[in-house]
Formats: sequence, C-alpha cells, structure tokens
Amino acid sequence: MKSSIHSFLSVFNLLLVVTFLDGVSGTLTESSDLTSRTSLLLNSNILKQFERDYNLLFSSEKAGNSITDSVPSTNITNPCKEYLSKFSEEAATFVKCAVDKSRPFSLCISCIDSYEGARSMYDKIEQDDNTKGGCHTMLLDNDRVQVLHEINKNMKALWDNAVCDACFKSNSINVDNNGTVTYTLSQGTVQFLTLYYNTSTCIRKYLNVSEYGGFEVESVNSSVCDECRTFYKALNTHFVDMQKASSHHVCMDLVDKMNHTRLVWGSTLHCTESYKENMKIIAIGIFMLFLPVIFYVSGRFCGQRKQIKLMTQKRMSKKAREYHYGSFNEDSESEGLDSHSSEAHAVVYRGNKIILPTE
Amino acid sequence: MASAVADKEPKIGSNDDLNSISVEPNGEITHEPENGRVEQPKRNVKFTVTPVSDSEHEATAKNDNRPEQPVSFDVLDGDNNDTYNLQNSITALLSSKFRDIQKKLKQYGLESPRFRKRLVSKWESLNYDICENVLYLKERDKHKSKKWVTLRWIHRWVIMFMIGIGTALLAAAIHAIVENLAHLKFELVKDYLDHCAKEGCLYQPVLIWMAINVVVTMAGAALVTFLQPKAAGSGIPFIKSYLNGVKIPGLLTFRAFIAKTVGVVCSILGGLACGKEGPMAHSGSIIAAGLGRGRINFCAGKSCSLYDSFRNDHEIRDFVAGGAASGVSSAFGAPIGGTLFSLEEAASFWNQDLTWRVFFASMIACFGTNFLISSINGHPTKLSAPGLVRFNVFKYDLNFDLIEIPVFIFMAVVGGLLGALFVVLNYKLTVFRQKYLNKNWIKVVEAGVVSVVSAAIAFGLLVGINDCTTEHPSDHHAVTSKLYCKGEGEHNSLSTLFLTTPEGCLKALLHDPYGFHGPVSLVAFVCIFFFMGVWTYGLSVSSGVFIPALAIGAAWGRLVGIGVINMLPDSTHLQIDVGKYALIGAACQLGGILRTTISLTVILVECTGDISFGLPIMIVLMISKWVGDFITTGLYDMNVEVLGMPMLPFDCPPLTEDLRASDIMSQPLYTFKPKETVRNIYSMLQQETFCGFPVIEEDTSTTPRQIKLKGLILRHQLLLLLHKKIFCPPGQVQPRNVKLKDFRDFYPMYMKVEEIEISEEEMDYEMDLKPYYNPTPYTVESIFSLPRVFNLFRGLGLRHLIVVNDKNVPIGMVTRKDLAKFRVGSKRGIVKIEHLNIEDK
Repeated sequence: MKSSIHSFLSVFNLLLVVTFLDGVSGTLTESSDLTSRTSLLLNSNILKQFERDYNLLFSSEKAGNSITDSVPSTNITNPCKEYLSKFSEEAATFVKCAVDKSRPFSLCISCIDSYEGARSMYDKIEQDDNTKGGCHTMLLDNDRVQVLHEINKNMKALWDNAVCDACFKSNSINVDNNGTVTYTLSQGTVQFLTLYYNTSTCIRKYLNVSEYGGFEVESVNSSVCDECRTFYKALNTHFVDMQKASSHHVCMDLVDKMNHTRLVWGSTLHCTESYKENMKIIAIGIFMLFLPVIFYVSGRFCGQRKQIKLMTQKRMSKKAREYHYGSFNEDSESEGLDSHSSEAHAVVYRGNKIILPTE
Repeated sequence: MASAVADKEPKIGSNDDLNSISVEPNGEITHEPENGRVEQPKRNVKFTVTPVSDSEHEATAKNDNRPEQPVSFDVLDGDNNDTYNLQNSITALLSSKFRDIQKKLKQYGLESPRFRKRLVSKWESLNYDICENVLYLKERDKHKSKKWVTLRWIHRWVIMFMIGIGTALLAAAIHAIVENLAHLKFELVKDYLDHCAKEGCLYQPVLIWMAINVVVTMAGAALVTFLQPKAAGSGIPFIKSYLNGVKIPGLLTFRAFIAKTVGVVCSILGGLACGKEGPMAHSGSIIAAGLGRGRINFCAGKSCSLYDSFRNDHEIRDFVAGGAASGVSSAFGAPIGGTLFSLEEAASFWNQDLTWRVFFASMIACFGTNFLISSINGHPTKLSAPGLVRFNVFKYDLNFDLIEIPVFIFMAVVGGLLGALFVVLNYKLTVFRQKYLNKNWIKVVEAGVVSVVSAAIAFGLLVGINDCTTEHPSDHHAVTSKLYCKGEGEHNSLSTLFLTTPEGCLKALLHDPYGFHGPVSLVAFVCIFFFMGVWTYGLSVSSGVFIPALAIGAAWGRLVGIGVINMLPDSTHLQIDVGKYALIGAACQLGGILRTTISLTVILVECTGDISFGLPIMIVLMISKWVGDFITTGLYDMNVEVLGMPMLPFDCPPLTEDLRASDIMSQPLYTFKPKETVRNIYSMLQQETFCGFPVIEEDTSTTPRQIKLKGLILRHQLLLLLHKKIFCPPGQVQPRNVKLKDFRDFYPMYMKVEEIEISEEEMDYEMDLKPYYNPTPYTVESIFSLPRVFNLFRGLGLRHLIVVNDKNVPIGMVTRKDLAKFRVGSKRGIVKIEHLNIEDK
C-alpha cells in the first residue's frame, strides 16, 4: 500500500514538474535562474507591480519587453542550453510514455528509450563540470529548487519502484553518443512473455475483450480451464520461480501481467476451484475425527487398568483414645467397658517397638 | 431398609471402632440421608469421619459404648438411595433391579476410590526445621562470627541475583527459538495454503502441517515421558506442593530442566494449545534450586559442585520461592505479580526478608528478560519488551464507564462457569488418563494424536469458515493467508489466530481492529480452543495453561464486545474498545480456571501497562473466583488433589477440636536406643517406611521401667551413617569422620537401604547415634487437640511431631499425611470435611 502511494505521488510530482517545464521551457532556456525563481514565487496580483519595478530595473537592457525576458543570456552558454532542451524533450517523452503505459502496465519495456535517454543526458550534464563547459554548475547548482535534479530523481524513483531493471539483462542497456538506446531483455522476461502470450491467446478465445479492456465471459465453459491449464500452470510456475530467484524483485511489467492473468483465471473463469481436492480433504478430516475416538476407546478397553491399593495405616487401638492413655497407673475406671482392655494402658517395649496393645 | 441398617450397624461399628473419628456435627452435615451409609461396604468405612450429635458425644465421654454411625461427608457423592414406595410388583422389580445396578456402580467406585479422595503414600515431607544435633552445634561454634553471618547474607542475595539472571537468559532463549521457528513453520504452511487454494492441492498443506506437529510434539512428549515425567504439565502444582513442604524427587533436577525447557519449545512448535509461561515458573524454580545447591547432577551420575552451604530443605525452599517468582516475572514482565504469585500460590513460610529477596530476584529477571529480548529485537537500550507475553500497550486509553460494570460482572460470571467447566472436564480426562493411559508409549502417542487433531481442526476452520477481511492485523509480522479470499488486500481473518503460536493468537485477539474477526469465526474459535485447551492440559508434555485460558477468554470477550457495540446504537466510538472486552474476557476466563486473584490482578495490570483499568480486572477476577469456587476447586488444586499430595492448608479444618493427638498419630512407634546394633537399624529401615525414629533411653533398674525420650533421628541420617560405616564392634570407639558436610554432600538423599552393603560381621557392630540425632525434637502430649497440633506442625514446618504421654514417653508420631488427611472444602455453598484414604504407591 505504502509503496503504491509513494509511486503515485512521485508520478504526480513528476507530472507537475514536467508540465511546468514544458510550459516555461521556452522562456526558461533564455531566462536566468533568477527569473524562473521569481516567476514561480509571484502571483498574478503582484505581478504587475513587479513588472513595473522590473522594467524599471532592467530598462537599460531591454526596455518594453515582457516580464519573461531577463538579463542578457550571456551567462548561459550554448552547449548548456542544448543539454537543457534535450533533457526536457526526453523527460517529457518519458512522462507521457509512463502515463500512457500505466494501465495495463508496461512501463518498463515501452518507455526504456526515453528513460535511458533522459538519464544519460542528465549524466552528461552532471559530468560537465568546470573543466569542460561548466554546465553542471550552471544548470544544477544555481538554485534551491533544482528542477533537473528533482525530475531526474522522480523518474529514477518511478523506474526503481517498478523494478524495471529486472526486465533487462544486467549491463545490457547502453546509450551511445547519438542518444540511441540499445538493450536486451533478460532470459526470464523473454520466456515469461512467450508463456504469457500462449496463455492469453488460449484464454482470449473464450473471452470478449470489451472496449475498456475488461473481460467478459462469453460462456461459462469449464473447457477453457482444461484447455489452458497447462499454459497457465507453466506461466505461474515460471513466475513463482522468478520471484524466488530474485527474492520478490520482479519487473512490474511481468507482475502486472501475472496479476491480471491470475484474476482472470480465478475470478472470471473460476478455474481454481477443484471439487476432487475437496473430497481428499474431507476424507482426511473424517479420519482425523475418528483418530481420537479410536485412540481413547482402544485405550479404555486395551489399557491395563490401574488399581488403587489402599494402605492400612498403623493406628492404635480404641483404648488409646483415652486421655490418660499410656500412663502407668492402672486406672480401672474404664476396665469394665471393654472386654479386651485388661492389659491396656501399658506401653510394652518389645525390642525396638513401642507397641500398644491391640484388640 | 430399616432392618438392613440394623443388620449392618454392629458390623460397621465393630470394624470401624478402631479408626473412626468423631466430629462435632454441624447443621448441614446431619441432614445427610441416612440410607446412604448402608450401601458402604464395611471394610471401606475405616476412615470416614463420623458426625456424632452432642448428646451422643457426651454419652461417649462417659461410657465407651459409642454408637458408631459412619456417615460420609461427601455431599457430592449423592448416595441418595431413596426409599421407594412400592406400589406394584413391576415397579418393585424394576426398582430392585435399579438398586442392584446402583449398588454395583457404588461397589465399582469403592473398589478404587475417587482420585481426589486419597493421598499417595510416596510423597514425603521436607524438613523445614533444622536438625540441631551435636555436629550442627559444633559447626555453628566454628562460624560464630559476625563476618560469617554477613557473608552468608551477601551470598543469599548474590544467589537471588543469579537466579534472576539465569531465568532471564532462559526466557529470552526460549522466546527467540520459539518465535523464529514458529514463524518459519507457519510461513511454510501459509505458502502452501495460498498456493494450493488456487491450484486445488489443499491436502498438501494439511499433511505437511500435521506431519510437523506430530513429529515435533512426539519428540517433546518422549523427552518428558522418558527423561523426567515430573516435567509434564505446567509444573506449578508441583512447585506449589514443594513449597508447601512436600518432597518431590526429581522435580528440581537437571533432567527435569532439560525436559521442561526443550519440551516446551517442542510442544509450542508442535502446535498444541499451550503456552510457555507456566513452565517458566518451574524452570525458574529448577534454576533456583540448582544455584542454591551449588551443584548440577548430570545424567551419568557426574556432577559439578561449587559450594554447599545452603544444602538443606530450608534454604533451598526459600530459593525456589524466588525462582518461581522470577519465572512468572520474566514470563509476564510482572515483577510484583511474580512475587505475589509466589506468595499466594506457593510459599507457606513467608517473612519480610524473604519477600525482599524474592522481589529482588523477580525484578532482576524482569529487567534481564527485557534487556535480552530488546537486544534480540535490535534495540537493546530501549527496554521495550519486559516479558515473554506482553499484552502490548493498548493504542487507546482503556477508559471504562460505570454503565459497563454490569457487563463486566456478567462476563465474570460466564468466566467462572466456563472455568469450572474446564476444571471438571479436565478432571475427568485426567482420571481417565491415570487409570487407562498409564504406559509411557501410550502417553507419547496421545500427545501425537492431540497435535494432529489440533492441526486438522485449525485447518478445517481456516478453510471451512472463509471469513475474509481487509483490515490489517495489529502485528506487522503476523502471518496472514489469503486462502480463498479473492479481493485485493483481503485475507482470511482466522489465519492470524491459527497460523501463529497461542501467544500470537492472544495478542491478535486483544489488538486486532474491530471488524477483523467476525462473530462466526469467533464462536467457532472459542468452542474449538476451549476443548483443545482441556484436552491438551494434562498431556505428558511440558505445557502451560495461562495462554490458552487467556486466549479462550479473549475470544469470547471479543464476542461480548461486538454484541455490546451492536446493541448500543450510535456507539461507533466503542469500536476501538473491543480489545478492552477481550482483555476482560481473558481475565475472567483465567480467573475462573486458576482462582488466584491477587497475583493475577497484578500480573494482568502489569501486562497491560494501564493501572486505571485495574479496578474492572479486580472485580471480574473476584467474581469469577467466587462463581468457580461454588462449583469446583481451581485447576491447580485439582491437580494437587489428583496427585494425592499431602498439602497442608493454611488453617486446620473446622469442627475437629475434639480430635486428639492420640487419635491421629501413627502407632506403634519404632524407636532406637542411643546405642543400637547395626542389624536392628538395618532391618528396621528395610521393614518400615517411616522416615523418623525417636531415640529413647530405657532405665531398667527401676520398676516400672522408665522410658525417656532422648531425641529424633531421621532415616537419611541413618542411611548415610550406614553408608559411611560409622559403627564399631561393641566397646570400641566409633569413627568420627562424618561431618555435617557429608550430609550436605548427599543432599537431597534418595538412597535406598538395599543399596547399602553390610557384611554379616558388621551386622553385630554397634552404632552410637548420639552425635547425630536431634536431641531437641518437638513433642506434643497426647491430649493436644488437632488444631493445636496442626498449627504447631504447619507453623514450624515440621516433618515429625512426636506424641508423648504424660510421662514424656513417646507413644506415637504425627506426620504430614496424618494431618493432610482431613480436608475441608466447600462445594455448592456447603462446607464439607473429608477424611481421605491413603493410597499405597
């Protein structure tokens, strides 16, 4: 969720900036950074006031010109201007391409030309330091907003977010001096696209492709599932393998295609539900249900029952309950009451025991 | 019927004569149906408590012709054999048949009395009282310096510190291992589930899930069953009994430690409905005992010994109290709760100094656990994880309104009832297991069956109740499975409950947002988890009951919360409160099962981290305890009763004032003379199971002979003396090379007399017991009443109390079991006093 919001924002950001760039690029190339900065800051109300002052200030140079004119463009050299216009072109193309190809998503493979063009141009500007033409300082370091830098950053963020580099063979992307971009799709991508093509042609036969790109099922026909299952499975397996190999960093073009195929396969065609499998699960379930029953019943009847052996504690005779029990004076008071008590009230010391007479 | 009574009465009387005990009746008891007692076979009535009316009692005091009317006090047994009004022959026939069956059933029950109604003879008592014999006094003389006292004091504190550290290390290790491995396991299952829901191969994940469960669980069960069976269960009943003063061989050993800790990892990974919090209390106790003894006994009889000055029951028991407290403290991040737990559940002998030490240990344990787990999470200095299970801070304040209190009270009543149901069902199951499933391999297989069924049921619920939600789980690491859910971002809501450890499940129930779990899935979860909890507790695996109880409660608490929100209109603000109801439900359920109030309140409040919510928790815990106690005892007490532990309650049972020491003492008494032949000693130890023998001196010069009590010698002392061969031919000087240290080296002593070899010649030697027996044993006179004897015994933590007559001649011995036989309980509001049997085991 977060990443999608982020990508959306960055696209939005990019769009805004590029629109702005497009609009003012004509003037921007001629104006100094001061004007571009101020024109950003101004609103229409104070614009006139500013224009007056401005004209007043620069009247010696180009009196009567509009506000967009500026101090003489002597401080911006021609090669730099060229860089700027080329970068603006490429960036604008990329943004247009990105928006166009955002749905269905095929940004990576479709827009690589403009992306790489813009990027290489930016690199050139960046490398053009004081030893060469000094465009780096002039174009990139002269203001707070850093338009070029921001745009480049946003383009790169968009590109990285879509994991576009994963679509291509590593180090296969080259930009020559003329700005021509050469690249090779990676092995996995090519294979995926082939499988995708097979699958979609198979499925397409059963679907009405509506005007808006959505699918409508022509007839609920389970034959489509049987027929296309091998293609679909090959595609899905290949995709899962790619995911595993790259630890879930798969080019967004492919992810989107896969998502879409899965949605069609599951939600539209209902090819995922399998009743045969349910039977197996039910069988396992019933077995599980009986397992404890069998276990406990067999435990009940086969297990040896443990009997409790009660211990008879060594207890004294009833006579001992007398309060004066164990005293040696022969108290005859209770004698008549118990027939066996004649020898009671004496502690007999036999060996090691003190034994009280038992009844 | 009346004639039958008349027939049997004399027999019962004559047989019971020896042992029946008269008790002052109270109003409730005398209304016991008279017919009931007829059914009791005469030989089994030996130890029933006999209520006698006042007039009868007076008559008894005058003449000995006491009418013996044994009446069972056990109200629950309900021997209501109503007299039938026989109206015609068919009903007569039927009723006689019916009576026959009833009689048979009763006979069946009497041949093996109920498990709760007996004590087991193998449990012996600890010596909390220090034996002050000559050796001891000599050694004390040596150490008569203030420096020594100070050193000992410091040593105790250092050991308590080490206990805290050790427990924390263990807790963090278990936490890390369990969390990581469980995450791996459930990720694997989830991958297969997601994959197979699309591909239609769902039998794969369920088989994989079951296979993992059954292998891991059976490994854990085998470890516990074969290495040390005392490590089964949560261990808290054992620790409770130990701290009450029951000697439990093997409970606090290195083997038990291994079985407990590795076992608990296995049983959680094996998918059983259990937690690691109860076992932490036991593990902490083992660490404490090991550190207190300063010695570890490894399996092959090897040991490493560091120091020995604390090797007696008295000191070890104090340390174990600290260990149990620090275990609970590191499990819940609740140092005060842990201390109170030790106080409430366990310790019988409590003083301020010990409280401070225990609190210190549990504080260190809590801090250490916090530091270690925070380090594992990657930010050691933040100290954000004080315990293994943490209810985490609730995102919103747990405010409550007065109007919610009735709802809480209702929940407390439900919790009490469900808790009692849990205990009753588990009791039935425990008895069944004890009776029939008593072979070791069957126990292991049973654990395997439970784990397989756990997986199958969890899977069945996941698939069967396809409850999809788009809400995000509260825990970012939670494993969620899409399964059959189709929509973007949808996933199966039950997957956060079942594709996780029970702790993760509890957290999910407390913190997941409103609407995450639908009522249907919650109802199914409660039913399933309740029975799985009942079924799991008592298996021969190392497992705790805290977490499943909390999870069950949290689930139905959440249900109540959803109900309340739906009943009150315009109460969307309450939706954030659904976690509050889950917390209250968890508290109710745990209180209903365990019935400990103070410590649970503190633990829950400390876990929640919100003191203002303490009041509702207190209220519901109190009420659920009352409701539960009305029906059964708590789970741990039930376990203690089933184990037949001779636990001494805090107070003597009521209505026993007229029992005298002479009524309850063991008799005949076996004694030794100060100089005794080895043969006598040896044969006595062989023949008798007693553990303490009075030493008497007989003066034969006078008539009648005068017998004088000299002291008390214990069985383990005699065994050691025999083992060390401290005896000599008559007339010679006996070797004196046995020091107190030797007794400590052999602590705890589990030697058997048969293991000691003594030659025939040595049998005639003499042993002088004088330096070894305790010359100042506690005695009572035979006319002491039971409450007095009880208080003396309990208060001093005695093991043997010699009963003497008015001439100071020893005539009997009172031990723990003689007192623990009288058990008082109250069920359904009726007080009952039972007289337990003793099982020979």
